Amino acid sequence: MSAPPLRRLAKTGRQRWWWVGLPIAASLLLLLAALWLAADAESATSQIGSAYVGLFVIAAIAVLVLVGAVIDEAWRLGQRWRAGRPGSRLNLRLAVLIALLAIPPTLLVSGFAMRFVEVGIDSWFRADVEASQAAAEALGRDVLRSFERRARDRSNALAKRAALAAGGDLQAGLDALVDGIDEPLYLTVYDDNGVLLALAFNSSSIVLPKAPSEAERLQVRQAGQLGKSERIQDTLAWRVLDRVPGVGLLQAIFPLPVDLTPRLEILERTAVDYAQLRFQRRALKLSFVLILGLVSLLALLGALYTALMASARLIQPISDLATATGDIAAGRYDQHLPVSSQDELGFLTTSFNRMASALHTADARERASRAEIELHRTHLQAVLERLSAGVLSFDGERILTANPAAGALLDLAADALIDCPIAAAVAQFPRAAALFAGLSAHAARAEPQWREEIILAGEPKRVLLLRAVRLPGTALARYVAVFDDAEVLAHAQREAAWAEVARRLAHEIKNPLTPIQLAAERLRHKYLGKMAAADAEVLDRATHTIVAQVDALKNIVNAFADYARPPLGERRPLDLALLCNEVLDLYEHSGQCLIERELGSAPVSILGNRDRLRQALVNLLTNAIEAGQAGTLPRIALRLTEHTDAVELAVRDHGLGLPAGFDDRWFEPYTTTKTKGTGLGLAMVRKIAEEHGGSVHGENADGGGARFVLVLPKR
Amino acid sequence: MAFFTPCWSAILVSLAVVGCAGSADPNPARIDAAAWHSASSSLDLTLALTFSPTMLAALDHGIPLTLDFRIDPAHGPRQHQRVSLRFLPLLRRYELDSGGNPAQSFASRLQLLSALDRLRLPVAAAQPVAGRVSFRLDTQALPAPLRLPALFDRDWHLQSAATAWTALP
Repeated sequence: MSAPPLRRLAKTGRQRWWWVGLPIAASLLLLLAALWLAADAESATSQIGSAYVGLFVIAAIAVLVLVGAVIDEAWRLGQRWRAGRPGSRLNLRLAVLIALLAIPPTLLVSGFAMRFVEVGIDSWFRADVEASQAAAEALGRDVLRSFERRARDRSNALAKRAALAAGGDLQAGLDALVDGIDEPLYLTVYDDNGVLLALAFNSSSIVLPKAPSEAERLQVRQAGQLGKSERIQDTLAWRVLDRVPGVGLLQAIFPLPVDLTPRLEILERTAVDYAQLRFQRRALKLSFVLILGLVSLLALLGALYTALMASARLIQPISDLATATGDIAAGRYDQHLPVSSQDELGFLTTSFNRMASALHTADARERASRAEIELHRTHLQAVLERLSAGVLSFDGERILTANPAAGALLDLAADALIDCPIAAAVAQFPRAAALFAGLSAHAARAEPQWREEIILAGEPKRVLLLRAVRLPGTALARYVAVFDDAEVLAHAQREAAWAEVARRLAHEIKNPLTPIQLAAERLRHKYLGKMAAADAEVLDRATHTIVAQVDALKNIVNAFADYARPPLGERRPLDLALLCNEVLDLYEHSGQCLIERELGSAPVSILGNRDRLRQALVNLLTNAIEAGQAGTLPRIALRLTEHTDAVELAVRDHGLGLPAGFDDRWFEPYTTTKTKGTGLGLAMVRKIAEEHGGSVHGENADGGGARFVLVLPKR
Repeated sequence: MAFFTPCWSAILVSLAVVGCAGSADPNPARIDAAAWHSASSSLDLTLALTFSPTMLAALDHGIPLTLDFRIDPAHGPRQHQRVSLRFLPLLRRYELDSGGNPAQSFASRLQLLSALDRLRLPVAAAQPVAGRVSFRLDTQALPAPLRLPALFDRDWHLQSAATAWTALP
């Protein structure tokens, strides 16, 4: 039996969550990476820093995970499809349909987006933009060059005037120079070794500038002037060095006008950015295409994975229903599907569960009924098999069943009767032809019940009493016939009558015997010595006779009491050979007879009542001794034969043999040829044998004499 | 799960290929001499390096190039000193910022590169008797779009071997 769907789900639940969670995490990771990279793509000063390449690697791993998940899911679907699992074809169709709906738009949008990105980046570098940018740069450079020329000229003039002031107070001369200039200026005079000699300034925007280096001083000595632009304390300035003959050199710093500096800085920043973008043109396109590719891959793989998962999830209830329906068709009704939604599929699943539950309950009831019927049938079979009466069931045409007793009573095999046409049975079993002809005739007349006496043909003569009835509640006419051996019934009735007689004898006669005996002995004791010799002799003989006859009567009454005793109680295991030896030992020692034993050395175990079996054995031995011829010591042979299921105890004498016409009636009470005795010996033996489920029979032995055989079952 | 074994193998192989691509041979760059200058607590380096045409073109387009000097004193923690090269298109001047001192300005690229031949790096260490120094072009300092190509393009690889120094008396 396949595992129920709920168990299958529980088994794979944790694994499925892992395989669903991993692609979702990869998708989110990929989305975040793409967003981050897109935000940082064209920035010159990256916010991501060293994580930029790492983000690409993470995105690539996420893509690989998604690809793996898609392939894995497709692989599973393919396996289910190849295995012909219920719902797999529908699952495949739905997945393909969803994928067809999702993938082309994704590819279309991605393709156009890439094209737009390329065109968009190219549009940044249009000829007019480049020309404007170049013009702006040229303009800025012209302004700076103009300022530089002016700074150089002024510095040269200031150096000449400083040379004139060198003859007097250099510091005062410099102060006078600075005072006469209305723009920011910082002047310093150094000797040839770079030692500061004097300084003057008219602006606080510049703090003490650095001294000219040795290389700069050398250049000034060689070229007469050196000028360069520098950023000094966040201010763009022109530093000009001029030779001052006889003193050293003059360093003049001209900061750019306050309103010009920020504009030039913007211009310069723009120029730098534009130059950088121009250089990164291809790299920018590559970056955007890569990012767009990641997003497209995310969309594509996400669509594929969603198609596979969604179709599988949608189809799962249908697949479960198909599997469970197959199970029910195969007779496995204990199906219960999880109801995962409240929609039409949920309703279908709920209805299916109700149907399966109803089927399961009905199946359980039907199984219980079948088991009960089977039990009853078994009981009935057991009863029929052990019934002494024959039982046949039949319809108008053929015999349906026959119990073993029916076969035994009709002297045929019961199995041969089963399913045998009645007409054929009439011809096939001539001894019972009258019975079968009667059955057929009564059934043809549709009699509801009948009874009749049937005499079987041939020997031994047997009269059967048959009662038949039509079974009620059957569409076809069916009958049951019960028949019994009339002789057996009569025997049973006689047995019952004898038991009643014995019981009454024991009760009515035994009680007065003892007072009679005591009274006779008292008469004898009281008057025997007082009477004349002749009278005394008469009294003596009379009282002896009374006492002896009372003893005889007691023996008869005891025998009847034994015969009327209720059936034996519990049977116990016993060794029959040992019991035989014990009884034979008593007879052997008494010298009443000669004993020949054929009992074997091994124990012969049976279930039986020791006292009753001893009684049976004693009766058989007594019968054999009494059968002996007068004047000779009786010779008795006792043989014990063990069979598979039974034990056979044979007692043989060497008398005159059985009388003519000896049959089963000789085992009934008071059937005897002896002049003395109770006539209950053999009757007792048969009664004890039947109590043990056995039998007894008599026969003339080869070589003369009679042999009585007691057959007892082992169990 | 059995299916994923080749998948994971493919991923590992891909990562290994990427890793190998990232560790390609560097451009010619070496430190010919390194000496400790105790008076200024700095390291005097004599460099011999050749920038690739791609690097020089990037520099001329205003993209700053940053050299990351890794200084491993014999005793003490590792230090990093960064030296930046940049071009100012408006002023048409090149700047060299080696940290500590004001940036040096050069009228031509040749002057800038010549200034790199002898470099003095301030080191925040108390008389490091000995140590090792190396440098490389910091591609992570490039603008974002150039970083991924720089990972695979040999033109962007500039890395010197480590050179030992000893303190001068």
